Amino acid sequence: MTGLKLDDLVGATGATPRHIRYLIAEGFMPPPTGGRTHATYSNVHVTAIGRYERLRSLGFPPAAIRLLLDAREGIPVPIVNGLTLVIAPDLIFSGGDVAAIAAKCATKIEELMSKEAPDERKQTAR
Amino acid sequence: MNASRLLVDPLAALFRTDLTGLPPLLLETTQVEVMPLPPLAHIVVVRTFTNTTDRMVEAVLTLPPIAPQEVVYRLIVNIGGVEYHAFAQPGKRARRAHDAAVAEGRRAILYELLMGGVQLISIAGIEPGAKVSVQIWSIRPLDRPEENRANLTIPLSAKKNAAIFSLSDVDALVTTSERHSASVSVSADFSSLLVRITGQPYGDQYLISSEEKGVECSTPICLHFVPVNGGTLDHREWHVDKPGGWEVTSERGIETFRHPHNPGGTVVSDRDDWIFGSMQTLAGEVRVTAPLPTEGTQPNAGGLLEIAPNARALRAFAAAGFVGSATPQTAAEVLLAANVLSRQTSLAFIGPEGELSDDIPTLRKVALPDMESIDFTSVPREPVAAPPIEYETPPEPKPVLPEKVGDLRTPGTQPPHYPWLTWVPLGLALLLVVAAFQTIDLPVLPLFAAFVILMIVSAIRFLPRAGSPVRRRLPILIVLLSPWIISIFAEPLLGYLPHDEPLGLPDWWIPFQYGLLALSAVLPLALMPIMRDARRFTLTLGILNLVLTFFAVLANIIIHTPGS
Repeated sequence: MTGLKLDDLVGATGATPRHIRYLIAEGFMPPPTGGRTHATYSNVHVTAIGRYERLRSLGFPPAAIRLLLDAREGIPVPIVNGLTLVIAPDLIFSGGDVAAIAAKCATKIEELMSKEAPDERKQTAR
Repeated sequence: MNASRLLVDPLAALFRTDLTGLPPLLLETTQVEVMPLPPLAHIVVVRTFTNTTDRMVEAVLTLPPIAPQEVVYRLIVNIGGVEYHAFAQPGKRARRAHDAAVAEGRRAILYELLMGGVQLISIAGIEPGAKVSVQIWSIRPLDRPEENRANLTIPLSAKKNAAIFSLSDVDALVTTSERHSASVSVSADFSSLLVRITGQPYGDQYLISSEEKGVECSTPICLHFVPVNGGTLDHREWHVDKPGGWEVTSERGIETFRHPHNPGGTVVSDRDDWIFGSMQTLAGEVRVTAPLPTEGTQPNAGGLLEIAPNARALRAFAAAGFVGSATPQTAAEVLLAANVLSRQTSLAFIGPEGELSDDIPTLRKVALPDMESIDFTSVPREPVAAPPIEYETPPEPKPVLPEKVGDLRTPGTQPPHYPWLTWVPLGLALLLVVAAFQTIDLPVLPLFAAFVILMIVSAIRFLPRAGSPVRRRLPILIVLLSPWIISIFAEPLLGYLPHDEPLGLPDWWIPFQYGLLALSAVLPLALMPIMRDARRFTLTLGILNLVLTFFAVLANIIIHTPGS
């Protein structure tokens, strides 16, 4: 998505114009291109708003979100007791082949947590 | 940056201590002007701040929830010496116009009510270094804890409550531990209204003039009003029979202007500009007649409206509780004409195109003082350490768990308060006096004198303060003494010497004595309506007089009916 006007961005994300101004001012997303008269938004802004909302829903306060994004640190997301997923900020709300990544995660978790040895599991699978 | 090349450290965020956002703009001064118009109060709050950044900003100020039945009807923003007046518009349209104006880089002001009554003011187009003042005009009913007293609490900040927590990040209330200068001034007729300010670090004080008085910005301003010299808290009017006049009445007062909703009014007028509103408040119904002229609702060249400032305020209150008017009007029209802020109408101003530079304003929040970090104590809270004393170390006590959740104590909480404990020493003192009657071989008169002294000393803690109007009614309480005095003089108990034979008494004598006892019990209750503001004092004296009457009656009956 490119060449979005403010109204288009509001329609695509559900965020209010004031909330968008807030996210720009606080550095959660870049300002529009084209200056004041031809302000244009793109997929970068849509993703940035979605990422912010996703992280807020996980309980991170705005200041912590800014810190994580600025420092490029992994964002810890608790899955179950004793298991935390650490994800790069850029991957949040980025789409992609989510199913394949989830399958890899499941395999890795099974390897780490299963009581059976890897060979036994392969045999059981056959 | 490619995600695979990122530094991924799951613990890094947990060790960060600098979780701070962009610093908010800070308030510099807050001035509050109060004009009591009992049963209402007119309030103007002026807050100032400066754009201390090096770019044009949109300042967003979130204010605590509006008070119950408070009606905001005017917003004036002064930016760099130029005044901008905001006018009521339908809420959604005002917000769309504001957002569009900000995107176009125009000066724009929007004042809206959010969920839970939270107030939000957005002022876009503040140049670097510009000083801004925000004036909010409102009118609201006074609280009436007692019939003859009214309170007004004005918070300058907010505690975190449900309404505050439910706000989005951009609308959230921002607070700071920084303090700023704040003051209050009260314009009242001090000859008919006692005004007291409480809750401030300097202690409670009576205000005797309208000069500004400094207050702590993080503490609510608490004002108390008591009418004196024939003043009243229930009615106020100003030329209600003429165009532009107004009248406000609580349910205890007398409404005078005659209109279809008050056919019993004594003031008859042919004015055709009146509107009438009625609002149910916590202190009862408040009825307002105010002007709504067809012309003059827009400011003239000098920024002034053509009706008196108080009339404008009353008009807003009447519009908020609109019932009827001299000419056909709808409630929505009246709200807009009276410039009332509500969930449906916002106050807005849009500046002309090309007024500002091409810069897009940066949104910045304006912070209010934090209410939770207050410490009025001028002396340190920590007690001064006593010199060490050598003693044997006692065995460490076993930990005791609280029996229920309510027993848990957290730092800063108040200890429990048991009002009934006040009466325990009093009861014990009475028992002591009873015992003295029976064991000490003294004449009766000194015992009565001691008892009266005890009675007065016990009641003194409830004595109304000096200056209170109820002090003039205290002599009425002499009537409380009458039952036991009559009981004594109905038969000469004083100096009584035992009779060899019972005196011949009429049949009604004993019921009469019991009647005096009942009278003593009923009298303090009967005096309650008259002795408002001194009810505890009356009750204390009443109880002690009841005991005294009980002894007098009992002694009389026992003496005259030996063997009973």
